[in-house]
Amino acid sequence: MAVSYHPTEAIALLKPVFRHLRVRTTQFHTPRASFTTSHTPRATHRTSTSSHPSNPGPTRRSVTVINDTGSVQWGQLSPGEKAARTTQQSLNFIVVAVGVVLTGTISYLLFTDVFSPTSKTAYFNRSHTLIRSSPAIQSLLGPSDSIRAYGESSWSRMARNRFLSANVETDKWGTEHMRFRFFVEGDLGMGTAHVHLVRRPGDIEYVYEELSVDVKGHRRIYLESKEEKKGKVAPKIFGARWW
Amino acid sequence: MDHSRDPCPWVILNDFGGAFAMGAVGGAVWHGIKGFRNSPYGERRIGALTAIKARAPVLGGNFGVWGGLFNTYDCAVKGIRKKEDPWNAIIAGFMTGGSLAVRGGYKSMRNGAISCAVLLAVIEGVGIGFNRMTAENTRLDGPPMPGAGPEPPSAGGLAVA
Repeated sequence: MAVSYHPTEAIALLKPVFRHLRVRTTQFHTPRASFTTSHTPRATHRTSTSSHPSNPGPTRRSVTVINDTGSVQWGQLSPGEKAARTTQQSLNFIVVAVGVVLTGTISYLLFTDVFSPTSKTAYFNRSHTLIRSSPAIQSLLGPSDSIRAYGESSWSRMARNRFLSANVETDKWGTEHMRFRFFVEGDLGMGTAHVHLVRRPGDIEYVYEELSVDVKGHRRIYLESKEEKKGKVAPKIFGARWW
Repeated sequence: MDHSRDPCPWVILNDFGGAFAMGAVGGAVWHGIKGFRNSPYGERRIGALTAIKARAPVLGGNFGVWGGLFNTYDCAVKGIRKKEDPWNAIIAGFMTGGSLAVRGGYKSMRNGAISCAVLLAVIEGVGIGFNRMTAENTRLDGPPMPGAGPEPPSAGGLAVA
């Protein structure tokens, strides 16, 4: 006759063994720190009648600049540990502040020089478009599709793009003058473009004071010129010129 | 004439080599230290050398592929736009990041492209900052009129300040 195995009976037989193996783990009662900061929690130790002094619970590692995680409350720190935590948090703040300043600086430089619609890069692109669409330039440099524009040559092997030499000045009347030059090159030849833009106080955009191209052996070609604008006569309306 | 850099088809090969060299040297240092630390006592030197031989060329290759691909796109963008400005690098970075992440799917491509474009924009921004700091403030006044000599001083009248 086969003996059937009953796990419940086996567990019942083993119960006295488990009873002896059980260990009391609640020798020391340390109350959990409350959320209020009105009192500091103290460990209440069980009074022992034996000659050995009571063990004051697990000792924590001393807080240093490197290993501080903020888990130990400020009130429980020694003066040296407080100094370590202050040093660590000050260094963290300095690193974050430097990062924020650098990020802001680079963002500002990128916006003012590249992304802004009034940046020198934007006006360089517009000037290049004007130059490419000029029939006079096309006759000297070649077809529109072949005319390319670039800035100053750099002796640095790391510089990919030939940078644009530009400067912005404000005169005594508060008018901003942006001047830059770049080189244009086509299938038939190459030239130098000179750009002078002005922005009067209160204006948002710059306006062309001058956009001219010099091609060696030819007269300067003016695409935009203040003198040219001055020469234009306003039409008469009701027998008078109003502007 | 720009003598500092090779013309566009050759700059790809040049920068591929430069990027490979940088990656290989950096990888040798990095994996040398890593191999040294991860080896048992008595075998640390051989462990470092083994790690360098195994991993440094791989990192160099990764750098080289990035550099070559970036310069390929940079030359292509220059050829299409016909102008040289910081937008070229940003667009080329966008394309490079997307191309390298193409095996990961659309989201991976998008994230790679954007992060790479931002990285290149930051590099361009740093370059602009250095340019502003180091470049002397050259006065770019109006271009001199062709054939115009120095003007004689006015004979009479008050000088206007």
